[in-house]
Amino acid sequence: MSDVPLVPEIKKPFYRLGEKEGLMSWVATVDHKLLGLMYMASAFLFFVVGGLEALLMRIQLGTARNTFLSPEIYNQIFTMHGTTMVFLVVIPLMLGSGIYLVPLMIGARDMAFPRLNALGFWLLFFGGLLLYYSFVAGGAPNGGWFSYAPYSERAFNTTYGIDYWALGLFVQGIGTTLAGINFVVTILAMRAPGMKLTQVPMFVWTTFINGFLIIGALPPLNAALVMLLVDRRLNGHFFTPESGGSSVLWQHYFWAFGHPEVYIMVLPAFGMISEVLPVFSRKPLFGYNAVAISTIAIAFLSYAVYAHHMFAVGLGPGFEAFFAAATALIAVPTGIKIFNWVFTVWGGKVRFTTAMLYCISFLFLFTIGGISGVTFAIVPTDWQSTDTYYLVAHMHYVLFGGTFFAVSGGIYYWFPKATGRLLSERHGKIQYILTFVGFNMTFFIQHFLGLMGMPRRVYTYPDYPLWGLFNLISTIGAFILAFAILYLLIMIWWALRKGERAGDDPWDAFTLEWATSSPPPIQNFDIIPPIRSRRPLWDWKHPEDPDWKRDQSGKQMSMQRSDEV
Amino acid sequence: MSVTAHADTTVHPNEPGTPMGKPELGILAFLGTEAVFFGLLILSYVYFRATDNSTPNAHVLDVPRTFIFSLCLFASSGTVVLAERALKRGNRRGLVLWLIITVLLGLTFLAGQGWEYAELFGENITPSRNTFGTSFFTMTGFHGLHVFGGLVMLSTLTGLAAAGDFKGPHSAAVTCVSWYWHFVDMVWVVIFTLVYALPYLGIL
Amino acid sequence: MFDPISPHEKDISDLFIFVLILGGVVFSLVSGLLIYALITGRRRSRQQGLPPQVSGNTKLEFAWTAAPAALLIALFIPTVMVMNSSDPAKPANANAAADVVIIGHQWWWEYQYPKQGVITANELHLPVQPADNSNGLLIHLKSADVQHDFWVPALSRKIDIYPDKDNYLYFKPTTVTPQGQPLVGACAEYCGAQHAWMRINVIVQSQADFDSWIASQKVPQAKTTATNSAQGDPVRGEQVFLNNTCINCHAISGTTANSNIAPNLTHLGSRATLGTGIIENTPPNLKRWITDPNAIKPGLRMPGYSLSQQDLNDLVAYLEEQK
Repeated sequence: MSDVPLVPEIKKPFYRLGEKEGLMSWVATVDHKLLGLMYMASAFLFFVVGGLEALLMRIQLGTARNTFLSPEIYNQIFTMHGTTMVFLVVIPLMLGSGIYLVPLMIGARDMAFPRLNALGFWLLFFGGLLLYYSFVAGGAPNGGWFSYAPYSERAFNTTYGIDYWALGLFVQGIGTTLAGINFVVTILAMRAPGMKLTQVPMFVWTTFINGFLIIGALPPLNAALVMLLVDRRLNGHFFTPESGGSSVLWQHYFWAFGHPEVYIMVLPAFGMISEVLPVFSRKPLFGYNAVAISTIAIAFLSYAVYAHHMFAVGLGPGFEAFFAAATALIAVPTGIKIFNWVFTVWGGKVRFTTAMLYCISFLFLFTIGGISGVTFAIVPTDWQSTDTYYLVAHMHYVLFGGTFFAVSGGIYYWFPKATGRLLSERHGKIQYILTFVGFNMTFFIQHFLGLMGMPRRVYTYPDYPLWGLFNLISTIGAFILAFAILYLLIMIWWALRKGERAGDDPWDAFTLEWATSSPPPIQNFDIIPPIRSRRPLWDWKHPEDPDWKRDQSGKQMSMQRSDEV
Repeated sequence: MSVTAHADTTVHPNEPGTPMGKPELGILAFLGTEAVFFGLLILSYVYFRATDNSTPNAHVLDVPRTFIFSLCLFASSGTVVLAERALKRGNRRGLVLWLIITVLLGLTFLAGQGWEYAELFGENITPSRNTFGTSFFTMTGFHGLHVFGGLVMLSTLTGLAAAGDFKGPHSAAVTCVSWYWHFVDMVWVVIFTLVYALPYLGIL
Repeated sequence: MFDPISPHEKDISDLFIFVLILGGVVFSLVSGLLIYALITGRRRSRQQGLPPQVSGNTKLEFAWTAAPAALLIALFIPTVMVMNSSDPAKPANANAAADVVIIGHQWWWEYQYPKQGVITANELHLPVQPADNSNGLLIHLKSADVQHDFWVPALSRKIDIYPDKDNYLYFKPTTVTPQGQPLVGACAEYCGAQHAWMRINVIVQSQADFDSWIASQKVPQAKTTATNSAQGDPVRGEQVFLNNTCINCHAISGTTANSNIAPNLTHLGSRATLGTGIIENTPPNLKRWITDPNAIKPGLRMPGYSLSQQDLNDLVAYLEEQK
């Protein structure tokens, strides 16, 4: 059924949308597809940089008492690695995929505010460049990605690194906020005729909630950064303890941003999983309502749990017990999602494409990350595990094993839509195995290092038994992982030139973005199929067995009730 | 297949039940981020008011004078509403006139803030003096920047209105700027109450 | 796990093991379900036709909402219990009642024993505690500069240290550490260039050994004589120490040097390491340290001293003799 011709073949190559050609077509564009791809390209550029920084760190930590990097350089590198990966890689990946896919998924021509969309990208990109300019301006920031005061104050940190850090993040923070606003308005006001908010693809739902998270969470970061800059450049006293300021205040402000931020970095990944698993199981998403409601629950709870990053501060048992309870609660909606995904696969016809392999691995790895996360909700175990390599392992299981595996699945899945060409499945599987092995080798063993007493953010460590060996294993894993990423980039480069033609709908998928050509034309759609359910393309291909006549057990309902769906 | 819709979604009307257009939704979301931003700056002021007893503190401020200048800002929220009404009636001259009055009131408020800052600097009360100075100037400074931004937008609207751009009865641009201006005004209500009025009345 | 030597840490360790086992069970359950679904799904994919288009099951949704919620409530009870048992409530007069004051510096530890009037650095001596119901030693923790964190896994929870916030903790070590094998820990909050070398060594002694250690700390440095050292002259060494800028930062009790900016060097010879854990305390290492500490611990505030060979020998003999 997938060969129903919906739109005529578009002859223009994907990088020449609009009237202008060449470089100007990218710089001057306000098209959501080009901007989405630019977000992704910029994210991968910074991903390579952040990855090289990670490799430098792993080389330094490969043996005990290594002198490959000086402590000052190591501290700059780990600060830039964390900052880059969070603000310039994961967030842009989430924003970029949303900006590319959301209008296509809801049958819109573009985002609600195309020019704001372009402004958001350029603010983010130049914010990143501003951050990296610090390397040539006398030293990169060295305060870690959360730059705790008073170490980040000028009394202890006299170079301009932290100033570039604060300014760069402020600029990119405004860009991110604009994207968040754009998502909310686009999804509220730009859906195709007939598409109810309860019928949008789950990726659109998670991006919608993500927009609200951004609107609520980025301002605390911006406020904290402004206050830090006032301290550093106008000799203010917000976070300077010796003159009445408070070092703990910074932590409250930073984590009021920082914890919702964790979900900003993972909710759209949940959405990608919810798109890919159904298509390759040949079934609809299990429990759409439950997945959507649990996304809302996570968003609300994320603001009420930030202080679990501060259990070591000594804030008192009542305070800690409240945040422990709230943090434990967030495991419930997350668990709901995991079970719904498992039951999406359950009873389906599973096709093991590379995209599917990544998404299945996501389920395993994210479950590990979620379970190790419970350790940080339970206050006494947090007192042991926080600020150790156990936390480093947990966080990478969530952000790399979680978000990046989902994004990889998404890349294999949507690459044909964006470029008109398929990534090689044969090489894809090799690349997947390399990523899976490299990732687990790098990070699983770090759980043990943390429990053995290795703090995070140390440039070296004493030669205790097994510490050197475990760190060496981790370092070797990091190189395998880096090779896997290089492999992916080469595959993308090759596929752009010589990849197999994809056609409009290579996966026999369910949602609207596959109803247009690959790559989509500048106006996205010439015609939109009627939308009467969550899987308009399924209904189009299966007029004898459409979703809108079906109850949740999969049976066709009697015709009288069909219009209520 | 018979119900195939045409894909020109840029002109399709908002879905029934969506109360406003895209610009209004966008400005609301934007004001949401601004509210959190100012809320946290104000919170930092309150926090240091509670934890740091050092002087100078809010009692050095000239409350009656600031109250008079604040009245200008509060009044400008009313004049911008009058401008909107004039637009609704299709009264272009009324629109321009009320916008100009709004801008003048806003300028008066900014001038008052400049006067206040100059006096405080003269007494060596600066952002680097103590936590009061740091949080007071950060909070009121960012508010002043927002007033300035609002004046730029209001002046632009005035120019466009004078050139005949708005025919009424409704303009999303006028509505959005007016909402932004009300928001800036509301923030000042909170700041004025917390920083000026309550200490003056001996409550905080 | 963590080889606990205190009842406080034992509770945390037991809870941690319990949580990890529970996590293992949950992971096995989820991955078991998923693997089963994948195997059957793969078999089904060779068959004709489409699978049933099931899109939800309300009963199942309730089940997997309620079950984790119940599990977490069940976990919350031991959480609160262990919070109280592993970190008992502190008295209101904790500031005055503290047995030990721990002060974090960039990048070394200052240990004060206010009740005994002793100040030392980088090696924490604690008397072993009886296995009764008492809470143990009350510790007061603060920072002289940036944020640090005191963490000895076998002893207690980790706790942040602030310049503007006093934190208190009970230590209750119930086992004496073997000779030459102190409990190890580290600063666990990033604090700058040498965060890595802000290691902690804790020596738990019998009460009698602890008392004699305290007594020796209080006695001014033993009188040195020119004859008891083949390598250098400790009496001259003391003069080298006092005549150089060493005394701007360091203190040695019994001398005029009483500055508290850098580690107290009284009885330096008895310590196992130099530079807060970075190298062993031997005369050749101490010479390297004095000559160019930044080569060993880059970023350190201490300047290098280009002393004559004889001055260096005498100074090292003086410092190392202070056992």
